[in-house]
Amino acid sequence: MKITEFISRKAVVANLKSVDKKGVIQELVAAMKKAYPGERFATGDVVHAILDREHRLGSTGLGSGVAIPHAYIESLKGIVGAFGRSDHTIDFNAVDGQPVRLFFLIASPTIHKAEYMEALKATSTAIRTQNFCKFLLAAKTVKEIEEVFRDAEELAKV
Amino acid sequence: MIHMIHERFITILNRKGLHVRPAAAFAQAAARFKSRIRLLRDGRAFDGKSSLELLMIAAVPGTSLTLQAEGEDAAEAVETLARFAANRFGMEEDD
Repeated sequence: MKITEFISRKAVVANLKSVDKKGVIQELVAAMKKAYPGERFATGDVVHAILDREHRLGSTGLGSGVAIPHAYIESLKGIVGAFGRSDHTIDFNAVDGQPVRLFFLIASPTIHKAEYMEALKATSTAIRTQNFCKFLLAAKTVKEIEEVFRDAEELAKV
Repeated sequence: MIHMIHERFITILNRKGLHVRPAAAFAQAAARFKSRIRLLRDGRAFDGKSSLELLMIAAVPGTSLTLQAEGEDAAEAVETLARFAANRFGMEEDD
């Protein structure tokens, strides 16, 4: 699975406006809603589910300025997501205590376990690719971010 | 000083697999040991102290992995981390 298969260009927010965790999640879920009109979910419910999990189960801020917030939504047909980069430093209670600037939000129907693991694999593989995060932080537009995604996908094939 | 390599098979019991939070929990638990910790799948090794590498395994429920530790506290590391895996990485059912 490729990142662009569950994060379409419409679901990319090149410059997140929010300065806190809740605002960022709201922006990303709103982008996901716009990008996937065929999927039925209430934006507020997804935001609530993600924030609830972050507070109750622990942060998905995995360190190095990256977070992978997610929620399971029964009504989804497939895995959908959104990506956001921020010029602000967002406090996300990350495991290394560092602020987060890159967000990969993933929403998955509960039954699609294997696909969800594949989406996580694609995301983590890209994040581990040299310079991927550096290039994403430097990218200013949706087009530039898309190019970074595609470059990482090309590298993953080799 | 040469250290023994300690190994044990572990099975992923979490019903959603080795996903974000279990991976983060394992990496944090592994980081407490001095030994090098690795998880092996199909001959490929993944750094047990990196949550991102653990996500790259894409281990669905029921996946068997080899837990390997090498270093002065390897025996204790394998014992502790294998028990942690058996306990679903400390996650409740709603993980």
